[in-house]
Amino acid sequence: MNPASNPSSDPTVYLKKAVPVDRAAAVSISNAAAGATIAVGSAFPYADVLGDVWQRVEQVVRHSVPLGENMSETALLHKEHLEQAFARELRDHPGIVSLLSIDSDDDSLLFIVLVEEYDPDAEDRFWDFVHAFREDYSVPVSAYYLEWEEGLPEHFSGPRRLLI
Amino acid sequence: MPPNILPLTQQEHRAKAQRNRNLCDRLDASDIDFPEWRFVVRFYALMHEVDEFLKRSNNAVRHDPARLRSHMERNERLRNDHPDVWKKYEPRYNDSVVARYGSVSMIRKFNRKYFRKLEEEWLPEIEDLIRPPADNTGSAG
Repeated sequence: MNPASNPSSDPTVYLKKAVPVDRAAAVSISNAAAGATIAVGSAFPYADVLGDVWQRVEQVVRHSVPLGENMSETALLHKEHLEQAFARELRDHPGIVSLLSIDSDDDSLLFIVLVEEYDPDAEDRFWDFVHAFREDYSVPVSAYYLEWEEGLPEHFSGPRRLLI
Repeated sequence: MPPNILPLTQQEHRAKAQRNRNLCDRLDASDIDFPEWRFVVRFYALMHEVDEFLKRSNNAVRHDPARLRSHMERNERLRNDHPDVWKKYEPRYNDSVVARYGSVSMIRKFNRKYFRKLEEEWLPEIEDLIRPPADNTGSAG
């Protein structure tokens, strides 16, 4: 079964399976989570199941490497969900107007945070958040914290996504 | 340090750090107003202090002190062997990247508030972590 092509509007059916962590299950999880990702783009209630998705994807990534041909897909998925988790947790951080995610060559995350008015104490709090995120999610994160005057940084080079 | 440059001794690292700090003082006293480059000079003073620290602490770990040839190697060493220093150093290293390579629009953070925080908190915090033990004793008085 290929969940990515499944028209179901409730991909949580794939996420509710009890999944032991082994190689075969990991592939299954990867596919299931991929199904959820497809649905995200179509009004999927992302936040409600993000934690569930994340836990399972984390299991895949932590305990099932290497996954051969599935690893690439899993790594990308892992990264995408981490980005969303990062953005979600940062959304209420005072002063942040934009959060860019820049594609990196590996499974690490690279963020550029743009604030309206630079405050060094707020930057301290941001870095505390980054350090905690790294520990909580066991993922490499690079971050830049900048003041930005107006508009979006359209001239930033490389593939990027605006998360906030 | 670039691969073709002879590695500096601890004393030479200290001398370079002091020289860069002197330049910062001269910039502060002048009308020259390029804050991002003022920061870069100050960062390189810090970098030499960190290199001196790594050489000093290096005898107890596995690394060859003469092989610290790039920012990446230094960062990796700090991240693995001195995570407390790395936590404080990393934001300033990233700032140095922005100062050196970022567009003019990206360097707005290097303002008065930034430098006050840098000199009063960020740099002293790092220097406290990397200062030789004898200096720690001396600074108590």
